[in-house]
Amino acid sequence: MTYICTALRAEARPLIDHFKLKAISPSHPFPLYENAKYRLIITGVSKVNAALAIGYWQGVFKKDPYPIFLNVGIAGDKNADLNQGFLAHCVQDRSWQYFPIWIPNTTHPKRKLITVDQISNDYPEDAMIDQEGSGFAHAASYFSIPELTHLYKIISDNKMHAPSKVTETTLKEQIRSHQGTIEDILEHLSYLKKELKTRAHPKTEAILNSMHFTSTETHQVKELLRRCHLLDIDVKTNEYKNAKECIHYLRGLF
Amino acid sequence: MHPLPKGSLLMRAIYVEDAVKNHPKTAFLCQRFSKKDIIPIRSYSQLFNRKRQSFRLQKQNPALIIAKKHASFLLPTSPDCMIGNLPQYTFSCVLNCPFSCSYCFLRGRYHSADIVYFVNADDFQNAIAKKIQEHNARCLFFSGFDSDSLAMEPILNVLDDFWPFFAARQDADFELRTKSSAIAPLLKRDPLHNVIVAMTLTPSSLASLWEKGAASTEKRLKALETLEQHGFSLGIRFDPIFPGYEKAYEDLVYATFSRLHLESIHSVTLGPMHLSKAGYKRMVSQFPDDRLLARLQETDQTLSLPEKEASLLSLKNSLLKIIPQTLLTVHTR
Repeated sequence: MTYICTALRAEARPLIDHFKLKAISPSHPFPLYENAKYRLIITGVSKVNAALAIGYWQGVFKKDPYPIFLNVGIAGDKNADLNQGFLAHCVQDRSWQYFPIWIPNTTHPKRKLITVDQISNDYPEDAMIDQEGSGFAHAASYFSIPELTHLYKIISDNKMHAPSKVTETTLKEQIRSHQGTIEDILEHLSYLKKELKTRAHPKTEAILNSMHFTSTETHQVKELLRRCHLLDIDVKTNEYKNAKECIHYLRGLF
Repeated sequence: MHPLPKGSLLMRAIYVEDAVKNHPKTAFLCQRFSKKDIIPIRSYSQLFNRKRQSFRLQKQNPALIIAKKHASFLLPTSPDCMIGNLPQYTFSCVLNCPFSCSYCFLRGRYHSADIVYFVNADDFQNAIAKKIQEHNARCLFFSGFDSDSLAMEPILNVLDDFWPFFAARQDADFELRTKSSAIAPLLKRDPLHNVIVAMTLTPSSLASLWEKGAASTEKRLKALETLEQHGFSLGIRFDPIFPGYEKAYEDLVYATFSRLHLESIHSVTLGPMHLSKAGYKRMVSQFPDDRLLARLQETDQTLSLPEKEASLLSLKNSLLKIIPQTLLTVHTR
């Protein structure tokens, strides 16, 4: 599953429309939307909210060992042009740093992102600023890998255009104008994720469901069947009566 | 500057440790890769040692991390890898390798496939000098343990630091071990009698299967011929060997020594593939679909291929028909 995370409803709206996401039952503390491929969460402003939302989300939905996380939002930058989009190559919050790893297909511009408590006109020289990035990245790092955890930021304000001038309308327009890029990023991350999939032996489920295995035995059986599959070793399903005999039989095949 | 080897342009990014941001090598590499993202970091371990990351995905496009090594510049060579009786040590200015060999223990040693280059060569050299002094005897140093010694040379120019150093240290031998045919950086230098260029050789059908990215066996042999013509001292490494391909190894032995003269051979070694249990587990977690790893069997705390002893014996016999016993070292595990 792919998880898209935004701070504001205005950032989320164009993506909800574009991906035709449906709202999930309103009982959740954070607004959630989904379709068959994507889930989107609106975290609210601040790194604490972003981290809480990711933690909550994964507590509720986590099944996948390597989910894709993409934070989409606006950022300020002293020198970058308005409406430019950047992937973050480093997320910094005081002394804490996180480095997303972009395995390239195409060259997206990248820039450092510093997460601050309050947005102001006091921009750093060579980095974007936002209020959520570090919370998002910190929380996501517990659930996925840096190759599948990314932040895509669109410049909404700079030294010529103060943050106070950002409106809901301009924000939606900015996100909408980057939908194609966001979709490209998500597609590429899905492709990378597919490369992490492993081939299980076709009889794995049948064998594991045919008798009781402890979790250690389940792990051993899966591992032995994986090797059988790779080495084209034929596995019979009627040569053993219990878990111990099954493992003994599978070991004997090598 | 040498032309960049194929694939190097795909390097993902350049990370630079704060401690070496003003080092001349850093400036050289940042200039060379000026079109890449150059990202400052406090310590290479921020990226390299974090546990939750995908070695397998990074292998497609490794980054270059320019860093400083602070300690443990030399490690005693494992008895499984020693050649002769000299005191032997390994040093690693470079961690990881652009090749992707199925059996490579680096896949289980590091969490990251990024390539780390420690630019503080003088600290390594001081440690080497001190070690020779401690032993008060000739020592052998290897640089090909954590990386291929030549594969990254056209980019990193590590030999610019170590060639003159070993030229001046006649009390030390230095082995470069490689599966690369990128020998131009060697050919521009005068051979040194105390520097051995050791090539790992594998039958071509197996090399194309399990040594992705490395030079073909034919190219390696051609490189050896060229190096011999230029007067370099050569090492031949049939290590690891794969049981069940005895005829292919016999042919390879014949092909190798019909093209090279024994006078230029420093040493020949052969050894089996073996992995620690912990390393194997990490390799399988990163490369669960690797068929070679699936063939390994556990004995004690290591994993190795079945019937390795017969295979070692067969290759040893083939070799001893051509080379004298004194040139040969057989590692049995």
